[in-house]
Amino acid sequence: MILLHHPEVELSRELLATLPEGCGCVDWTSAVQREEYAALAASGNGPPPSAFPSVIVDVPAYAEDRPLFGAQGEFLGMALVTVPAHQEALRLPASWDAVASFNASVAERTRLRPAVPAG
Amino acid sequence: MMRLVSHGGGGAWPGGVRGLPPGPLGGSKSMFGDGSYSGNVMQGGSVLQPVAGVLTITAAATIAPDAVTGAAVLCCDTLVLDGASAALAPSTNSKGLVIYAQTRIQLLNGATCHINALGQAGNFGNLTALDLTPASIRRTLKKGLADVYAVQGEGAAGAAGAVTYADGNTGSAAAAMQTGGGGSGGVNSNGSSASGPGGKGGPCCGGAGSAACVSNFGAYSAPAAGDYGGPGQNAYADDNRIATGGGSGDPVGTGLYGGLSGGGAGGGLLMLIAPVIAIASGCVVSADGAPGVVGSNTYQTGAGGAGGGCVVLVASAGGYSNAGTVRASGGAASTGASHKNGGAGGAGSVNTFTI
Repeated sequence: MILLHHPEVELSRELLATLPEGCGCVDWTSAVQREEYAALAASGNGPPPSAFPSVIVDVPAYAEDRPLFGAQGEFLGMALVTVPAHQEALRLPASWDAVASFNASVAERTRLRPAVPAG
Repeated sequence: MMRLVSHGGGGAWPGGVRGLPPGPLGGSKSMFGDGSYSGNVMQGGSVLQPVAGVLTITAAATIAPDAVTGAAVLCCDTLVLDGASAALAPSTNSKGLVIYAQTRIQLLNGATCHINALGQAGNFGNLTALDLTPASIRRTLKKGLADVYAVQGEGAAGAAGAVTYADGNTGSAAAAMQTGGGGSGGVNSNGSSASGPGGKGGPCCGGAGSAACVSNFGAYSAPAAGDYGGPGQNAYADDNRIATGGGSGDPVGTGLYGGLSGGGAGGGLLMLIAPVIAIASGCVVSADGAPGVVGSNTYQTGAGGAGGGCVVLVASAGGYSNAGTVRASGGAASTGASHKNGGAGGAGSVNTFTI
């Protein structure tokens, strides 16, 4: 996890003060740190921030239903597809408990709907 | 002592705002104005007046944009926003909210000062506070601050459009003195259709979010949201079962089949210029973009949010304190769509300077 921190935001200061062990932090007012993160984001390994604070979390792959339509727009049924593992930015999480709740939720989703085996 | 206040008329006393005499707390120019009041804050249906030089806002209050510069500009001696109901903003979309105070600007007890979703789209080039300040207030300013700090004419880039069946993407975050880019709309297609990309930010408005796109009949490329803050573009859907949101921006795009029209414009340009700027815990100074929207029926596809604006704070050395929040958040992604959501607007920038 990575906290995208902005010191001008009260909630961000509160999250930084209770940063969990192992969680990284990018101070958005540091040009060096901001550019390092921007390079990551440009390579697809970190979503761009929409608001501060945001917490970047890893989301494991899972299966998702997708509707299928025919050439005339008729509904044909649902297909099961894999959403690959990726990262998401949690905007303005109220607390680290909220982040933990999200992580538990996506882990449970993967357990219940594992990625579709290739082939 | 009787307090002389400006009420927009007169002309007999050069040097005072709108021709009225400088207030007893003013009279000499400074980089923060001369302390006289511009007489343009509306609260509760009437023009708010200072008491002993202190203009105290306790409820929702607005400033109308100037007819010439297009920005909502206030000058005064001391501005205090006090209480959770106190909220100062432009009365409509504008090129900026600029506040000069000769003594101080103070936010207390949960007060807010914002230009959320009230930016004005346009390619206006780089802009300083002076560019936005009416001539009547310019006369109270000593050269040295208002023409120094320029917001960039081009904001951050908008998000790439989404393809086939995917959530929209988040707009790019702003660099210093920039606004954020717009998010892109979600796309719901069984072919290779795509939502349009979000728009680039402008100097006075975060980038527009693009509309949602629903296409079950071949490949369709939805139009890009406009650059420099808008327009947000109208939703596209060739399936009338699916509520499809219009992009946020200036102006907003129209939704379709129960989809909502865009949630408003990008965050605007907010400048506070005073020797002392004090923001207490729980108070917020913000230039947030409008969120993405979805719709009301069972099947939904969401549009992109607008980019965050640009906040510029200029204070004397040691005069700036913030125990609260100063932010320029991008508009939140649309959420809860049964099909795909739009992306969020990119974060804008917060810029603090001390002299």
